Amino acid sequence: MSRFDAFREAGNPMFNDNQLKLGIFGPNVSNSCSMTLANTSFKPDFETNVKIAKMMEDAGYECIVPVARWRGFGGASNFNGNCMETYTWAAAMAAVTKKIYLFCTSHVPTMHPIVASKMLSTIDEISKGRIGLNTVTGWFPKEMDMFSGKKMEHDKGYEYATEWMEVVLKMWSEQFFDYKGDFFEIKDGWQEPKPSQSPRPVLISAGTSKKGREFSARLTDFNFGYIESMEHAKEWTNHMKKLAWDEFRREINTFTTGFVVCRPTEKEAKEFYDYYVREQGDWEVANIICDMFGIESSSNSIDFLTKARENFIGGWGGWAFVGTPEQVADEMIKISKTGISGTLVSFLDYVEEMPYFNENVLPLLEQAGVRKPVKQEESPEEAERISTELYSPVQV
Amino acid sequence: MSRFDLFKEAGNPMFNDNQLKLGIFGPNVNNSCAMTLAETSFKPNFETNVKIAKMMEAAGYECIVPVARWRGFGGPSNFNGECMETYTWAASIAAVTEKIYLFCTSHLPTIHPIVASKMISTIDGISKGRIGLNTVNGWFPNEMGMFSGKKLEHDKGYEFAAEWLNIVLKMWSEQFFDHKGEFFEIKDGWQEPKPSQSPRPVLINAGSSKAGMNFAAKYVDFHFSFIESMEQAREWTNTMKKLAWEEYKREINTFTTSFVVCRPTEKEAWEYYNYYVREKGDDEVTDIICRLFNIDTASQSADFNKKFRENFIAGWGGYALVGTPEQVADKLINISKSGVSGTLLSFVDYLEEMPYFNQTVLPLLEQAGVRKSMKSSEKSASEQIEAQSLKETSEEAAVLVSSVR
Amino acid sequence: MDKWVLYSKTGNPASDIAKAWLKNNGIPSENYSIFQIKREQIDILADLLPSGAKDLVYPNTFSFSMINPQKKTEKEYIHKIHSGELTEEEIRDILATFPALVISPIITDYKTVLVGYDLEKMVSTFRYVKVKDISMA
Repeated sequence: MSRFDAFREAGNPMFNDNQLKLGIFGPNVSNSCSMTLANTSFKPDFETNVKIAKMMEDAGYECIVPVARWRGFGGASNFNGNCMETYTWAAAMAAVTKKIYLFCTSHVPTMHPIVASKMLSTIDEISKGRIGLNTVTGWFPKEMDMFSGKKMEHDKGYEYATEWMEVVLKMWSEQFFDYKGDFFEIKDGWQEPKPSQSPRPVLISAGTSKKGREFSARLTDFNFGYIESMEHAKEWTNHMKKLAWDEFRREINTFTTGFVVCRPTEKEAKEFYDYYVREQGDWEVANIICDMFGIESSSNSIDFLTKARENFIGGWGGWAFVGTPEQVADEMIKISKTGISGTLVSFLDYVEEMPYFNENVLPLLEQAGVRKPVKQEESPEEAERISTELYSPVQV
Repeated sequence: MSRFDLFKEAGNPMFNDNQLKLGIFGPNVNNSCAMTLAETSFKPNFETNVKIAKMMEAAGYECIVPVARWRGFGGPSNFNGECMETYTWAASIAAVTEKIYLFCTSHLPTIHPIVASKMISTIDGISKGRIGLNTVNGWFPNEMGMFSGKKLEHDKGYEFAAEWLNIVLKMWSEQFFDHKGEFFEIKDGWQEPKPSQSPRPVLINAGSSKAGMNFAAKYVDFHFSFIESMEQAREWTNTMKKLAWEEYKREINTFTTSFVVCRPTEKEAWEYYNYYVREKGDDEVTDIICRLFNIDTASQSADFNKKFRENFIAGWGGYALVGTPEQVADKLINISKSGVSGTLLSFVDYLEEMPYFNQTVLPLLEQAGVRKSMKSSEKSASEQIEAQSLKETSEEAAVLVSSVR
Repeated sequence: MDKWVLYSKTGNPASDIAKAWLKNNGIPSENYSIFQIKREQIDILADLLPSGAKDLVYPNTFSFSMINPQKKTEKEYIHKIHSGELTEEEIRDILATFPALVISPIITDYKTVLVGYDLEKMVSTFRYVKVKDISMA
């Protein structure tokens, strides 16, 4: 049985029958994915996150991927500055949800792999097997500097991440092992319990460089990336699958991210986009981030630069799902046809905007056959047990 | 206003009116505090921990202190080997409880202070201010060896701890700070949100060496330790308070830990004690632990050794609360009279044994005046909440007024 | 703990951005309208500035009118203040009477003062800022 078959057999949501999987990105950080000063009720706190997660479970979403951030990017919004740490976020979310798959996003240089593996094993038990790991090497210098760690040279970063990941995998699968690498030395490694899920927690990473893609192909289950067009999406997915198979005899999937502005009319959607991106956008922070990514190169046209900035402000550079429910659904169906397994979405105001999306876009995706309607499978006794034993006191 | 006054004013359970505060120790590790192969329904999993926590909230306990462990101690029980990591444990328990104060127990060498401070700030948000920190230097070599970190020389360990904690305190109270010390260099430290609780999360520590006591006196709010007798408990408490005040002009409290075997008759209690300690005790792990603590069995009397070893098996060296509800209550009242602020408890089987303790011993403690009855404290809690919401409303109003002006 | 005060003007983009910056960078501040500023505070702030009260005032009528198109009376004072024909005392009196003349935002702990929104100055000013009293004693 292949690794992917093992995930499927275990009923892992990330490997369910939905051709287009859906999740959200960054509900644990201020502004989530939108670099704007626009008004929103969104707050990166536990109460809001629980509300969002319950809404998602009711609508059948597959996962939530938090953003790991240790400081803001600057600008007046200080984008993503106020945030919940992702391991403790996931542990708390696991305690009050039942179905949705959660990820920890972890800057590998900030944490010892034994600690990370132990935390994930603990969350695995709390969530009954609903935790995965998103590894990040740390590319934001001001953030990593805080840890007095110099940002490692890019390639070295992935060598480090590879060792880090190897230690984690050993902690999850072996007892009494020694490990000696360039970065870690483990004496008599041991851990109990190991994650209960089969075959292990889902691993994802978002590296786009050659080294990053290799890391992903070699060790993870999903490569996350931004898409520029449907052709690009198809190419990227094929490339990743081929790389993983040719080099490492492994399967891999791809997953992308986008931002949603869905309104009854296209005009309303565009107006709102104009408001939060063009009028209220935090261009200062968009500039900081574009500079960091080297987008400011002379080889790019002004149009490209403006669009890139707008996409950053709109939703961290994700795909723009702006329009009527039909238009948004069409874009999503197109993405699904490229071979990508799914997309994370972000909203400026999850609690306000997600219900409309769930009520109007999800049925269209079901009609198109890219998602199945949600089954209410849980027995009433089980629901009663869970709500009385575990969840009743949460005042949210 | 002093630090302790601030904690009291904020309604922190660790500073409430109960003269004898109660908590439990190590519900997140297998065998909790008992080095035994005796049968028990206890499991160090989330479900059991939630059940225990709810039972404690209903009975008015103050806190839970988990044990941080990265591997077992060995022996057939592999005592404390299977366990829940404490930061994620605290985050998840915080999500499903309302009143009880939780601690993260953290081996400082295993985690960067920025990560630790951020995790605690996050749990503070989840729990609405019910998280504290128990710092541990790491004294179990097999465990620390796993991290390829050499165990720091003892005194160096406390220098490291002091620097570590100073960074955490800065992360909780300053923005844009630099730090350059012997062990860490922080460039432009910044964090948001900061813990909401006033003045900050409660800090506890259990160092019993001179360096450890000094560390506790200088930085923490409760010094944890084992007690051997009431005289020793009083002496220890006085020493700590004196040390903290004379050296650092600070207040400090003491807290101890005990194990409970409470049964309707004394005979039943001791029978059960015999069963799990003398018959089913894990001698092998006890040997390992006695060696780790350098307990020189040769130089001590046989009686001392027997008692010492038995106390380890029975409850990690805690104070023995074995007997009828009256006897157990008497001992607890004595502890309280020694000036110690409270005790953690451990049971072989929390779910089975705690209800009896709660029903029979707690009322006796209330009668003796060392704890308030749940009903009255419950009421005052709801009154507090009401008062708090009134306060918030008036603050909001004040903000409105000032912005209108 | 350091207490910071922000004087701002509604509808003034620089004020809004300064307010957002403080909030999002985790620096608690008491927020007041610039119209709440009193002579007492003007004295403290002016004493902190190299050229005194003058430094609190919009540099020319143009920049003033951009932000305060309705304030015709106040506008007349801008030139007078900067021409040097008024004493420091007189300028302070005028500012207390017509706070609209004071540049928005003003960010101060009454030991340092930042006039207008200046990102670089904000960043350097808030080094080591203490935002929470955790009473280490």
